[in-house]
Amino acid sequence: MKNPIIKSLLLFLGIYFTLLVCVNFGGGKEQFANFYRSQAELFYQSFGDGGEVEIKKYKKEKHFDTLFILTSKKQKQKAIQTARRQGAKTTKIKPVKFPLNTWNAAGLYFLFFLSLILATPVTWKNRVKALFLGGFILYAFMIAKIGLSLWLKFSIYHERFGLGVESDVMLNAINYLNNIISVPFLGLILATLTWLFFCFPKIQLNPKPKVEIKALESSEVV
Amino acid sequence: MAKKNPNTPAEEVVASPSLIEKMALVWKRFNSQLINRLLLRFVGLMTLFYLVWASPFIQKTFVAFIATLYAKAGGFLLNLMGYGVSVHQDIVSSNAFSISIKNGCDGIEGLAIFLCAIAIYPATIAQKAKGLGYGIVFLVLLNLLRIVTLYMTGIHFPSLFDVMHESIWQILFIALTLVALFVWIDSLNKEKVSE
Repeated sequence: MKNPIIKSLLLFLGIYFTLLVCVNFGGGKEQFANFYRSQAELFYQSFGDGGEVEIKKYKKEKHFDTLFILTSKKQKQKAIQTARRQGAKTTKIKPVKFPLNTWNAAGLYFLFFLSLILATPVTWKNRVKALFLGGFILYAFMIAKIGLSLWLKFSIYHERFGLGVESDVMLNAINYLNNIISVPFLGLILATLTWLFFCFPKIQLNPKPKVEIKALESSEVV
Repeated sequence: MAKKNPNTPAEEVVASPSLIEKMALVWKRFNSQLINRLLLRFVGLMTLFYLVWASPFIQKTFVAFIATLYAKAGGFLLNLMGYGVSVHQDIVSSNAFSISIKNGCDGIEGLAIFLCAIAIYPATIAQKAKGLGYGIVFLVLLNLLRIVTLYMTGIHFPSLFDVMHESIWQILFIALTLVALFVWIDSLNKEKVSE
C-alpha cells in the first residue's frame, strides 16, 4: 500500500480493535473500573471540609459500573443533633448517589492513546516516554474530572452537606465547566493532542540507513 | 591588614540563570518547533469553541437544530432502506428501536476539530476553503453513516449497540477526522512540490 496515511490508519485500527477485543472479553473493563474506583477513593474519599465519598461497584443497571455515594460530617452531626432533640435513638441521613460508566468516563481515551502510540513509527524509547508522560496527563485529567463532578454535586446540595460553593454565580460556573469536561469526546481530543505533542516531532518515516565505515587498505592519492 | 592588589584580575562569576530565565529558555525551545506553535493555537481555538458550544443558548438553538437535521436526514435514509421510522425533533424511532441524536452524536465536535485545525494551519485562503468544503461534506456524510449504522445495529444486533456507540464510532469518527486533516495537509505538500 502506497499511501502512508491510509497505511497508518489501518495499522491504528488493527491495534485498537485487537486491544478493544482483549479489553471486552479479557476482563479489561472490570480491571479498569477497579483502578478508577481505587484512584477516586485515594483522592476523594474525604472531600474538602468534611465531605465523605464512598465509591462502590454498581450492578443494578447494565450501562453503569460504579456508584458514588456522597455524605458529609456536617450532615451527620446535624442529623444526630436533630435526633437527640427529638429523643430518638437512631436517625437516618439522605446521601446523594450517582452512577457512572468508568469506561466511557476515562477508559476509552486511555485505550485510544495507547493504540495511537503503538501505531506511530517512533523508537521504543520515545514510545515508552510518551506513554508515561501522556498517560500521566490523561490520569491527571481523569482525577480532575472526578473532582469537578464531586465539587458540583456537593455544591448543588450545599444546604444538605454544608460544603461546596454557595454562590449561584460560582455554581453556574462549575456547572458550565463540568458540562464541557464531562463530554467523552474531550478526553479523546486531549489524548490526540498529547499524542501529537509527544510523538509527532519524533516520527521516523524513513529510518536512517546504517552507514558502514570501511578502512581504506591503501590510500590512493591522485 | 593585607592590602588588596589593584592589579589582580577580577574573578569571572557565571551567574546561574534565574527561574524566569530558565522558563523563558524552555518556552523559547518549545516555541521554536512549528508543531508546538500550531498545537498551542489549536488548543486556544478549541477552548474557545467549547466555551461557546456549552452555552445554554447555543445548545438550545444551534446544537438542537443540527441534531434535528441529522435525525431528519438519518430517518430519510433509513426509510429509503425500508426501516419505516418516524422522526420527532432529534429522535428517530420505530416500534422496534429508537435513537436520540445527542451531544457527541451530532458530529459538531469532530467538525470543530477540523475547522480549528484548518484555521491555524499555514495555507492560502483558497486552499483552506477547498479543504473546508471537502472536509465538511466528508464529516457530515460520515456522521450520517454513523447514525444509520447505529440504528441498524440497534435493530439487528442490540447487544452490540453500546460497544458500537461508545467504543467504535467515537474512535472511528475522531480517527477519520484526523485522516481527513492529514490528507488535506498532504495535498498542500504535493501542491508545493508540483510548483
